[in-house]
Amino acid sequence: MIESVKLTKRFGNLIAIDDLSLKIKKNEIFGIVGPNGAGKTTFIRIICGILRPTSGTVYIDGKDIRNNAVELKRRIGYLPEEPNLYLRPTAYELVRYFADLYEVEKDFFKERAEELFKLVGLYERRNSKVESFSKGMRQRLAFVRALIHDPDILIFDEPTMGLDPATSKNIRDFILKYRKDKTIIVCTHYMEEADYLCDRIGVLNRGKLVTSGTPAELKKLIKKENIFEIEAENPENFIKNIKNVSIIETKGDKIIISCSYKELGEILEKTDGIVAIHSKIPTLEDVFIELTKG
Amino acid sequence: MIKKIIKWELKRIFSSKKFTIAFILQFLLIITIIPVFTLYLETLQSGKFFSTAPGMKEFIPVGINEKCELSEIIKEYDQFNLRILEKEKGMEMLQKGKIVAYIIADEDFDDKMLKMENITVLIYYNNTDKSYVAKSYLDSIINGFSDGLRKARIKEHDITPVNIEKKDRKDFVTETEKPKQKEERKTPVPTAPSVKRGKIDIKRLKFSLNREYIILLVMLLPLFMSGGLLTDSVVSEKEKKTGEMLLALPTKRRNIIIGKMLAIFFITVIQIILWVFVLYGIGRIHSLYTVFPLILAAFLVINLSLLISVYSQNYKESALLVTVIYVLIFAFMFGTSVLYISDLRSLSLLSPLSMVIGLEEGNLTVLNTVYGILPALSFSLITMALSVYLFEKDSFYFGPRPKLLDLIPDIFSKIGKGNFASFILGCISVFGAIILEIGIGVLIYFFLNSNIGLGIFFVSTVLIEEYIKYLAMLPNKSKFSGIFVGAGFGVFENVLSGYMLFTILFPVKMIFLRVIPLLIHMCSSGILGYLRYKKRTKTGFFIAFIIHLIYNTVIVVST
Repeated sequence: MIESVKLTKRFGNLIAIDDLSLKIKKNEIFGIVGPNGAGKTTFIRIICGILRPTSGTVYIDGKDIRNNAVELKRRIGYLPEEPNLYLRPTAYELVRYFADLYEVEKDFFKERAEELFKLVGLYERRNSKVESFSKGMRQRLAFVRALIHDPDILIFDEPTMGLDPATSKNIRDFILKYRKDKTIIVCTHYMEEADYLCDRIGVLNRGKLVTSGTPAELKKLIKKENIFEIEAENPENFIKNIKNVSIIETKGDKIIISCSYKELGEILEKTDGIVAIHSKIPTLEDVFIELTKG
Repeated sequence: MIKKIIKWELKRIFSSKKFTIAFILQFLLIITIIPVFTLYLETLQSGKFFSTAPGMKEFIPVGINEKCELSEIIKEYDQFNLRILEKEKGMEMLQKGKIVAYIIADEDFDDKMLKMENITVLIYYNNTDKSYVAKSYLDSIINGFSDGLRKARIKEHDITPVNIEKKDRKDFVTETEKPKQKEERKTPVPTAPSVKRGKIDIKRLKFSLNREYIILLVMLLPLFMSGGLLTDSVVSEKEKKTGEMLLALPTKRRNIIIGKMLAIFFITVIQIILWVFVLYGIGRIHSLYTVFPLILAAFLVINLSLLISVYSQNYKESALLVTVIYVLIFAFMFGTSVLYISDLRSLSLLSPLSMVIGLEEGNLTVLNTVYGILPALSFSLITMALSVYLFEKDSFYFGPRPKLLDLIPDIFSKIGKGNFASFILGCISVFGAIILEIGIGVLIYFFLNSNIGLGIFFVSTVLIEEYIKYLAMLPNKSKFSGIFVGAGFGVFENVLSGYMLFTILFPVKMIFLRVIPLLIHMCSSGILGYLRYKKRTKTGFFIAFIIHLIYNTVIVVST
């Protein structure tokens, strides 16, 4: 289990993580979502031992990351947002270097490297220089690098960022295929990805944990559970007339609101110029927008 | 883990095209610079190309009354056609214009020099054009006895100075005139033969410098190239973000940066050994021990490069810093080492390259070796510790980077917060004061070389020392922090002062003299520390400044 306790990280006057307490269960895929600058990457960098907390700490199976960093880092496989690979060596040389640094035994390495290169579809290209790889291939190679020492905790920061849909799907499939008995943390911007991959999700905003739960639980968080898309002749006027109703989003003449049927009835009585009303099933994106707005 | 990082770094560097190109260029430069530099010196000496003076060989016919050490020195000048002539014959030839100058040295010139007695040299000129050229050169030769370089050479042979009286006559003099009636000019000349060797060392200094200068120039190249490689290695990890994965490795963060540094250091050592063996093989140097001071110099350059690399956020910034720092360090190491052959040998040992000259000259003592090693090694280790400290700070990799001044209290608190830590911090802060004082001194020398400049320098040294001591006492909240910082500062300043002046002044006298500044430092900082404790820091500063200023004024006035 990974547990952050009153975790705070400052960079000068900037507070990147603010008193964050969170528990991630063993063998679950935990998603961390939040807008840019929410502190997602800082949080996972602290778990990886790349950054040090200003105050508070993170425990992994009860061990404090501050005092056991070297030991705990061996158990973590980290895939940063960008693959950040050395370009001159071949894919195989690069992976072998990191295997050496993680003290992977030679025999195990051979089997492991073969298995992983095949898994990500780079086996035929393993002796090519990294500089000749496309962005998607580099990302897959970064997977091999992150997994070569068979870590039981995997941390992926925006694993599909900037990749085409097909490669993104491949990557997501790798994660699901590989989860077995691993604890996985996925940091992502894509709500669909979080919905698809994660057992539970934590929403971060401005360094604080806004909420956490399963995707279904989060979707229920939206006020009174019903989402309506209203098409109005005069959207500005319509917005002025509705009070105590949560507006999730406005798109041109369409307003997405969250309210009960009773409240919707009251709105219809009071307001003219409504062209159409559509009932909408809440998505994780709606939750994200609702929770992180303002 | 460090071994693995070193191995990987070495592999990366050796497979890098940049390294291959730099290595080849370096090799080409080295094999080119030796003949070019030699040719340059020879040309300078012959005056054939760069000098505006006539440079034809044996262009100036002169005579001397007898063969002596002076005649040997004159012979080294290609321009002169020197002949040994009896006085009558010499004066006759001078009158007829067959020679343009005739020199009469005391008959027992060499003996007098050995006995350190005054010597008289008379020079007669006729009124030809060449006689003016001859006068210029002969003046230079005679005055050359008193120049600092000559003096230092003689000093190293345990000789005390003697005076030579030189008497000139500009116009042609008839036989009836007596030399004593001539225009006189005294030139105090600290020169004498070597008592140990029993003869004057007449080897011209500029010839002896030739070889050492080439060695220095050649050997500085791999040092700076290696520094560049290190900067490239560290800064590229930041720019390309590959360093993030290194930070995630199961090792202490310091191992990463030390591993990188050691890899580059290893390459540099190999290069130095290679170049030293090549130069030794072709007879350009005479001591293989030259390797050691060069390795020390490399360690210094590499650690400074390490600090620049860790501090810089990108290539642009590191390139700027590297350029400035390398120019300064080149000027410092090269310039200071040259002092080895002048009057300031002890000071020259601040540069490890001085030991290269010492080894080549065959006169490097054990004491000089120790003094030569200490400053470079201690400064390198402090720089390395500072680099590791910065590298371990998250903000130096992921930003925003804090101001260095803001870090000083934190850096100092790493050493400790007790009185002993204050003492150590006082010792270390001497380096900071020296660097700042040298920097300000150089600026004032070049841009405000006047009494006002001197005054500014005088006051600024006091301010710098008191402020640096103040910074050093910050981690210690005790009312006695200032006394311990002052003691550390004073003691270490004494060590360095003793080191620099040891061979010039009698050590016991030095030790006695240095007790007073130690007490002054303890007193001024002690008051500042106490008043800081009483929340009256400004008053403390003022009093400390006044005390220090008064002491320095007394010293300057009395000396």
